[in-house]
Amino acid sequence: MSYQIDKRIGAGAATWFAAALVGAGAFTAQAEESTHWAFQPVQPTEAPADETGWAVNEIDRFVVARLHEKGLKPNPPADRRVLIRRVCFDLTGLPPTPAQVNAFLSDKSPDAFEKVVDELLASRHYGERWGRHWLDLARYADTSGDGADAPVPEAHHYRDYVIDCFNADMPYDRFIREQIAGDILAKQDPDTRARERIIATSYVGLTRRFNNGEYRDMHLVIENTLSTIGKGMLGMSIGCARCHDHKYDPISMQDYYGLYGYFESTQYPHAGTESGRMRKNFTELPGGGLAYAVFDKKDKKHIRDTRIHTGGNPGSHGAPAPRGFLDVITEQNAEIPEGESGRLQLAEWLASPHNQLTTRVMANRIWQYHFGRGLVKTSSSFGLQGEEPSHPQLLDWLADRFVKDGWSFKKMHKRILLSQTWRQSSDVSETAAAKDPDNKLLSHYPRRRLEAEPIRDSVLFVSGRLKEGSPGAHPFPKPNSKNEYPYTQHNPFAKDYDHEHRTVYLPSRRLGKHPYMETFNGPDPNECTARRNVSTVPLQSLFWMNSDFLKNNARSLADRLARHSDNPAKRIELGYELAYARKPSKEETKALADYVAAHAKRIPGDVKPEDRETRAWTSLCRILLSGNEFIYVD
Amino acid sequence: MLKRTAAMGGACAGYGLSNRLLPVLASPSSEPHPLAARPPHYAPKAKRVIMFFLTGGMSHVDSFDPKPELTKRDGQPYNKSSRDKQVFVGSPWAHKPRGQSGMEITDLFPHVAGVADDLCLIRSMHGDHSDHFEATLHMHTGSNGVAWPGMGAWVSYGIGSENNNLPSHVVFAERKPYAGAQVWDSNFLPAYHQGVRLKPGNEIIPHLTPQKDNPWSLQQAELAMLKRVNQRHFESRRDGELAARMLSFETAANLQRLAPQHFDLKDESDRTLEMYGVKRGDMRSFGWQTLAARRMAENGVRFIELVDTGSSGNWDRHSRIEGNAGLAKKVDQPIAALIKDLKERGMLEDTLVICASEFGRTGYGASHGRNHHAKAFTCWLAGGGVKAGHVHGATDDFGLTIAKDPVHVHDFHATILHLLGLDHEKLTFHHEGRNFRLTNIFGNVVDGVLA
Repeated sequence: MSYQIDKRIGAGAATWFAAALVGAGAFTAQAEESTHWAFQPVQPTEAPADETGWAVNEIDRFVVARLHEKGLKPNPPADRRVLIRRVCFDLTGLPPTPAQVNAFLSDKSPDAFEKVVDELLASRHYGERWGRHWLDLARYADTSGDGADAPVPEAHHYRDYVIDCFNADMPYDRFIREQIAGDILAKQDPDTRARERIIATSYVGLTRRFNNGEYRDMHLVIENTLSTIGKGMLGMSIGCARCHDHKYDPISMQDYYGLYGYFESTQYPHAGTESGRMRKNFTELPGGGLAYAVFDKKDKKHIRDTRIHTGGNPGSHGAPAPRGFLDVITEQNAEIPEGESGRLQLAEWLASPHNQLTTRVMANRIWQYHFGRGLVKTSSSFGLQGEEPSHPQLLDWLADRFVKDGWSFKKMHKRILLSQTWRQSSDVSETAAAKDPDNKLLSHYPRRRLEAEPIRDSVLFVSGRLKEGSPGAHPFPKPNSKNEYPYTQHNPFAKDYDHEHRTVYLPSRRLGKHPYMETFNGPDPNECTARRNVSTVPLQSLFWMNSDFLKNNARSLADRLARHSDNPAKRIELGYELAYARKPSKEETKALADYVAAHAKRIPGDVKPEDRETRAWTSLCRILLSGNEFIYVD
Repeated sequence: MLKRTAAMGGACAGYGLSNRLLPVLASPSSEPHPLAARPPHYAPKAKRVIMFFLTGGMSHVDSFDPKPELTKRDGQPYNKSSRDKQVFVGSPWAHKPRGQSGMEITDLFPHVAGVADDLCLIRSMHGDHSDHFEATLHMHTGSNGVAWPGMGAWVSYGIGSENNNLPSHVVFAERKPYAGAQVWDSNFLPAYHQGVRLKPGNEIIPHLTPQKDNPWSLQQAELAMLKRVNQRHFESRRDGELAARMLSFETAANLQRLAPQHFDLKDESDRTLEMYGVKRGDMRSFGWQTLAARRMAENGVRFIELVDTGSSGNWDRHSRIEGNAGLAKKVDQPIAALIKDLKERGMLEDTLVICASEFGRTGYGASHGRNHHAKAFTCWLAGGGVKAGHVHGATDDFGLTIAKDPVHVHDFHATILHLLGLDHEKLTFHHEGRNFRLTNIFGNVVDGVLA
């Protein structure tokens, strides 16, 4: 038996054949598509009444009703210190300062917590935290991803664009339209955000490249675009239909190649690679500079519908596939103006309030980023292979509310954060552990480990070393006078750059993660990442024990404590306030003060006494920063 | 029946706690280690793997599949009608029958030829892609486009490790291969199974060495205090993830103390060092890497890969095929030494040694070099459950097409898993709506190579 697959098809084909066969016989798409929950229009219902009086808003009423069904009760609210630490990490990815904690503790007004939420939503750090969630979905990277993995110095414009959009609370429908078709919008209305709108289409421009030649394997490139849109915006694995009609979900090859046509009519930029080194088709920005953006192909004869690639083979053309949307959602395709790619019409469809996938998927993602898991756990997979929502009515209520609130993220955050559900303590009762071990019904707030970015950012922040703002472009080498890079598959670009800005600003290479991101489960910059893995491995512990990063930051924190006071107890108190947002108990203070004293004595006698003291305090600070309490949020 | 998905999946630190709340009296150390050894599907022949990966596409017709016909036609045009200057290239290396088995191997690998009776050559390998990047990914992950977990990660996921103080899966790579770290990445498998890159030189494992001002004597006290701080935090929470992280500091401390012993060859005899061609004090050469690999194998590491050379200056010889001599010289003696050494220690019978490249090369080329060739090439196995002194499959007179018993990369993977007691169709992981396998939906165990 031979497994020869035409190399032009590549692994993608094999993947989708596999998807087909694994479930063959288990399911007939036609039968279930009409009833599958995710394809039904959003149907908001009124939240059930809560007779216990626990609920403060509709979210709570939906949640407590499900808890009661199972004989469970919600937890009481978390302690105020726990709450402010939780909300700071949730919205900004940084711990609260002692001043923020004290202000909240001493504010006895009924809207004290709401004030904190408003303040955090207005902070620049909000966009750095929530923009990163979107960058995961957009498989953001600073390199091209083919064999040479050439740097794309222009990519950072898109990163900053995303952060700015979140900070400005750009409505999600506009955010989608700009990223899919910003270039067309800019042409229609050159006076409104033209620069930003062009940069926005780097969402498409930043698609992963394959192979080692200029515009080689474009069928794989476009598959990556469609897969990113499909998973990220629609919660659907549409790539399966590249080689055959999807066997699980009602997505046909007609659907796939209908979507393909929009992007085959689109000019992608070329970042340079082994054969075809010259960088080309970047977009000049109003106001100067270049963007890794896309535009409609200039030669109108390349703007057209495509044909189905029979068996996924780009050399084998079958029936024509007019540019259009997914049939299961919308049967009627929009008319495309003559000579245009149609991306604007696609964007309108994606961002339509009637697109039940777009609205539900984003409502669910927002929920996931607040609770660690979505109401639909498989947040990029809403098809028949995904999990059912734990609270279907709540999901529909949120999706509907999201649109009615003008697609505002910040309004959604407030609804969720001000709920009693989100404010519960994270204690787990024995009843809850027995009846709902996965906490699907939310009888408590789930304790969470911080992801890579807030961990590193918090170390820098607490030690006083964090540099505010964006560092701008990465210090990539410049292309030569012919606008070429020297990188090949044999000598790919492989440099990492470090700085003390927030981690969202670290460069991200497609063929090799930044060592820190690799150690701490950073996202895969080649694929849409729905949810971070947060596994604990010994290499992480070695990082806490032995890295220069920890040593330098522990030393800076020790200096910060030393500047605060000569009194060991006061230093330890500040350390706890900075690192854990609480005061240490008497026993804790004593244990750590004793440790510092004893540790200073353990340090060899040839070290000067004052250095011995600094080193002992540095050791204490490393303990504070390495503690579970530092990287877990209750 | 394995239930790895339930036990190992999810974000839960690789700890098998669907219920994160530990029993009330549990201590943080009472949970099974995420790398704990797990029984395979059936009795294994091999318990561990040592894999050599010769980067760049090692020429099969100059090494393990010699072709006299190329020598006869040396210099003649390959395709008379074509205008390019592709001519047949005879191998610069003579070949002869080796050992009792009489398998033909050239003088490019004189030491490996000396252990021919332990080898099982597969001369009928074929893959799907003839570019380095994709083919390297394919040979490691079974996918040549989107990266999937590497073979070592699958093996670690399948059977865990015998020593939880060392990683289960390590990769010696002074420089990265094509496709970079993707070839040993755990990808969607739990991160414990990710290959730990060992980089010969000053810092073999990142952050393995304590800071100068924080030697073990001090660090020990620091870690004890950290444990107290964490214990106190744990008491009121009793969360399995918190316990897992506490344990990981102990594992890391053990790794830090024990790993250098595996890298330092002090207690190896002069004879052993000589066999591998290693000078005392050397901690960099391929011989050192190979010997360190044996030491890690002895200490329970499941999957050890040695990446030769990296993505440039390697076996990718489009011109002057003679240049292979230097590359072979670097690896030949250590590879043969490993086989002899394992045999002497009684370890060859349950250690699977693999020698692979991403593809082979054509019998013709320009400038006395050879082109990429994925349609037919040679890989070999030795030890753990494979026939010794055996040749499986054959190519035509030019080494261009497969004449007998083709073995696809997926079949190769299925066979390797089989030797480890793993059924490649059952070793699955559920990810984004489907069950993934190393062999995708393909692969047949190659019975012809099984002892």
